[in-house]
Amino acid sequence: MSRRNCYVRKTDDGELAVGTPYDPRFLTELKRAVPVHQRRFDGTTREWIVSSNNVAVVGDIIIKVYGQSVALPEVVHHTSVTRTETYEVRYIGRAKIRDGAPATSYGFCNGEWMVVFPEVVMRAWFNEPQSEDIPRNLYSVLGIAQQSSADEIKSAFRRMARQWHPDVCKEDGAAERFMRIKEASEVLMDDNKRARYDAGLALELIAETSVPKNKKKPVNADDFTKLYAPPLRCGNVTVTGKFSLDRFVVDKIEAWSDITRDGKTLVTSWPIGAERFIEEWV
Amino acid sequence: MISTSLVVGSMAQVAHQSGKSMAETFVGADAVLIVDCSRSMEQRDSLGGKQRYEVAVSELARIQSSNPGKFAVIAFATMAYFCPGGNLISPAGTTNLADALRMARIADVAGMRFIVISDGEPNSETDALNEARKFVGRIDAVYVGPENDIDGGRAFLDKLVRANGRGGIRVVADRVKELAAQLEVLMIQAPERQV
Repeated sequence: MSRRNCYVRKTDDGELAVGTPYDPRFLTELKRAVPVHQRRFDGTTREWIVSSNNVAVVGDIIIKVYGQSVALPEVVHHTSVTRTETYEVRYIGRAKIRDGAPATSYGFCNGEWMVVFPEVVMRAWFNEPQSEDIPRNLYSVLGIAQQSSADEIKSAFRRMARQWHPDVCKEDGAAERFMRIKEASEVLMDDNKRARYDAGLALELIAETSVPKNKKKPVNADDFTKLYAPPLRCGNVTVTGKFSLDRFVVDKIEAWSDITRDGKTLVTSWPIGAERFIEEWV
Repeated sequence: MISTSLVVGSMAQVAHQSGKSMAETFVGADAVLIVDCSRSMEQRDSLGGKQRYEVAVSELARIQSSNPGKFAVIAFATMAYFCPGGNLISPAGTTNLADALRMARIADVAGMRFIVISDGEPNSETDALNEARKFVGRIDAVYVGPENDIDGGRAFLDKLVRANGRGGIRVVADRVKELAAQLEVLMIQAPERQV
């Protein structure tokens, strides 16, 4: 084990850089006390970068784990200000649970994975159920609300079909997803079928409240993964949220539009086994 | 109490088999069966001394299995229940047809038909007739009481299809016998004739 002492210094950005000998107890305590988006490990300097608001917490952990009282830098406690930003996000990954915190997806923007989308925020924007255990309905397959107009349904279909067309999209399960999008549009773009489907949804709701629930997970074509993946992988996304350690943590998605160039639209996907996502202009 | 096992050809069974939701399966439905499960359905005057209810269960199972995904079932007694698995509730209580029609009206979309299957008069004739008048879709009726009982449930069902005013008809399946066959007849018959 390294014998180096613990220290806490202030970074150029006013955050904390924390150096300690390796001890799993420190890691456990840090993860327990500091929210996931207020800390990150810098592999180059081998330091933990921690939001300056946690200066006292970090000092306490070092005393608890290493029995050392370290000098703590004077820092300006910043209150995170909620702001609205628009990012050209080139790819959004699958949501993952990080250190026990609620699942988040990272969005790649300006050459960095710097926009953090909580799964719950993404699902709300795309009108999807808040769990993989609840099957998507046809509206959520297209990422729209049940009250959507015929034009909105048409435009959502075009966008989803472009994203998931197997000739373009190299994501796992793209062909199945594309078929599902087609099926959804066939029902929702036909007024009579849509009225019947809406009636079916209402009856389904009645059945759920009057019949004991079947414990077995319902069979559903959309359930090919347990890791949530947003139905669109890129876009100009207007978001409300807060900066934390150079990342923007999204509280709410306000708008989402296609990234276009010379009359073409960007579609991105990540082939299985590839090191990076690929971009296609269609 | 509703059984949770699935009748072959019921909405839920077809949905399960195709991997689709019940709502998607309902897109292909032809009719909603509104089935009386009040206490009078316990009478043992049907085929071979069986209860009308027992015969109704097997007749409905038969028509659902020969027309998979085409019939949705609402059962009613004191309350109405949607039965996606195609099973009926156990017979008990009163005949709250108005409640069942209110529930069925959720599915009152273009081209959907409604068939009331009952052996008696409802708790409130006025409420039931008022509900029937609100339907855009056609309501037919199958009287499943004794054939020789002219004035009771049969007369009411005649009023019901007239109140609906969409050209529906009322047929008789004496004490539930041949209910499935009568339903098949209804689904293909011209709407003008009273049987």
